[in-house]
Amino acid sequence: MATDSFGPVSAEAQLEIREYRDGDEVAILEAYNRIFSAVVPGFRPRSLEAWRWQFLENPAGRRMWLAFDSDGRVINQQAGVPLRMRFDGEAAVWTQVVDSFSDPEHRSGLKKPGLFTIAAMPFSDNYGGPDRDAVMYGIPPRDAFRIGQKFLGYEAVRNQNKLVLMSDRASLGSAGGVDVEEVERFPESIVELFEAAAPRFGAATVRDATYLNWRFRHPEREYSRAIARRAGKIVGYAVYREGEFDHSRDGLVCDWLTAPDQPEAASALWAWLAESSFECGVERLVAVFPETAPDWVAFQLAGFRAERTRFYMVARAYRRPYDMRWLYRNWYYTLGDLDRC
Amino acid sequence: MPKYEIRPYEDGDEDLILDTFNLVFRENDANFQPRSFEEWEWAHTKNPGGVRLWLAIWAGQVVAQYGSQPSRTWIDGEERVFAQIIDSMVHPEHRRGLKRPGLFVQVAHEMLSATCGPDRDLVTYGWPNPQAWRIGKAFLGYEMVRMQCFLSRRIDEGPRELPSEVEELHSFDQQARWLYDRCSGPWGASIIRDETFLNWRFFEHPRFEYHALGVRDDEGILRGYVVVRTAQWHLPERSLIVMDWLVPPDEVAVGLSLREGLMALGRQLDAAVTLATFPEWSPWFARFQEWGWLVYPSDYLMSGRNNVAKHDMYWLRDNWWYQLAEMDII
Repeated sequence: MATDSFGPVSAEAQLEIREYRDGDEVAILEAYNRIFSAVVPGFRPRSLEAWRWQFLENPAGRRMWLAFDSDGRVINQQAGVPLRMRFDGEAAVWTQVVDSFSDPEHRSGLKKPGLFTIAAMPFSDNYGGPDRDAVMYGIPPRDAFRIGQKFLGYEAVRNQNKLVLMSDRASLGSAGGVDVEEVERFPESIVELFEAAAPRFGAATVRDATYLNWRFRHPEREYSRAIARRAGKIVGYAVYREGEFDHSRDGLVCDWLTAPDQPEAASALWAWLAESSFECGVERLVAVFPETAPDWVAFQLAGFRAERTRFYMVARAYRRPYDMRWLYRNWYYTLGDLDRC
Repeated sequence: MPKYEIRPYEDGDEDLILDTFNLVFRENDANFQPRSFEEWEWAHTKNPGGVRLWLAIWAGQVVAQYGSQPSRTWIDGEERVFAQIIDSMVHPEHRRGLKRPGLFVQVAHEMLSATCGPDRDLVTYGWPNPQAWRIGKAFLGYEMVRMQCFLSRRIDEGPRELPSEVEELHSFDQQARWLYDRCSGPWGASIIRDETFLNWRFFEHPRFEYHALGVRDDEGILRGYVVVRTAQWHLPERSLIVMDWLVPPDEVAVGLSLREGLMALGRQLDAAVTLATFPEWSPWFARFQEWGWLVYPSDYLMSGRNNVAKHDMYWLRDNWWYQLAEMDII
């Protein structure tokens, strides 16, 4: 639901509105880079390689609707990143809505659904549903949330807070018996960790090797990955990178999962994170969890402090009886479930 | 639908309101204690901010009510009104489903359109239960300000006597407003803490017993206060609940004295834990964490409804100072 651009199109425009087809990426990227470079200070154009990684190489599929003007230019996009989920014990797909934009030359006011929803409505109608993508979510900019709330059924799950560890504040426990190893790829057996942890969560992205080796092997972003093992068995992992989140450049805990009742795994991974960040001159380590996740309190006990972000976590649930309260209580996510990391 | 008379509260409606209130709120609360006339009077007709009650009457009964508790609020450099939605109810024999919400929404619309607007009550807010939230969201423009987190810390062993610089306050005087004026500068919006509001909110409450602790300077001027009460609420253990905290953020020593005072008071009152809440942007949110309070989630949702576009939920979240004093049930 990351959009900075929206508005209705002029009545005389002749639009083609349809799902993505192979080869559209050149026109999409031209529009994306043109529109965002005009409104985002310090914007770095997206490469075709990064776009392909996010939208074509995602093992869970692709979600994209587009509006073209009569010259074949993309003037509106609603796109998403689908994720394979464990949702109340069953397999499901959720979609993170990202990269929604509309061409400023075609905008007008907010009162009518307008250009922003030209692609968003078929996107929602075609992909969302009880037996299709059960939930769509994101952390949209303020104006996009307002429009989405009005026309697309977006609702707030929570005001999104974050956890911040200052370099002088870490209070790490013993990592006795747990070894941490940096890895280039996640092994297939990582799914066993997910299966052990999953019963604690009502909903979570399936963290298996397929997902992790796609999500954290980005063509332009450099991630570090570490696995914690006790007697050879995986008891946790963490993913780290230095980057910007919420207008601040920090060390980011991009993903995190530990086995239940393995506090030493957390201690070992915190030590690795501290080494990866503070010893490289980074002053703050930032993590995102729902306050309802067990890690929320565990991280505070390790010295992290809660701070606000400027975001609301926003979603639309297409399957009853799941609503925002249920998502608030039961959904486990980290920064890795957002495209901003 | 029967033909209801929908109108504002009038003198003499109290008994009918209370009959329905005690019937409705008993339904899902095994520990419900019937509301007395004194409590009703305190909540509504004695509220120094005024009365906002709309009723649906049918066959001599109050069958629905939608009301708020208005408070004088300082916002954007002027005094306006924020009103907490409270005591909303529909008699069980007059309810309909969410899809056809009927009477509840009708009464609410009457009340909200009569009392809210850019030139009237500027913001209504509240802590709706899940059912009221669903209806409010669908039909009345309720939005989420935040899911409320609480700061909590165990009360460990330590002194039971208040620090010498901390005194128990038995009422507030004009110094409360001086203190409020010193604190409220950076806040975009806040209910005005003066002697009228504070004495009504805490010392005139007919059921709950609140304790107020204050710190004064050498000239006897109030530099900070905290109001607390004990209850088994939200947490399974008996808690010392911080209802109101007013200390300039740069006067850390005053805050430290009050922190020690509230911990000592907690020991005196056999509370196991303390519970407080601050907006995440408040320096006290960070300071309490430094002092060992941890941030926990709750199912309480602060809901808002703004009447000026500028004061949307982002703005309220990031600019509105409130405490548990702004929650009527505690």
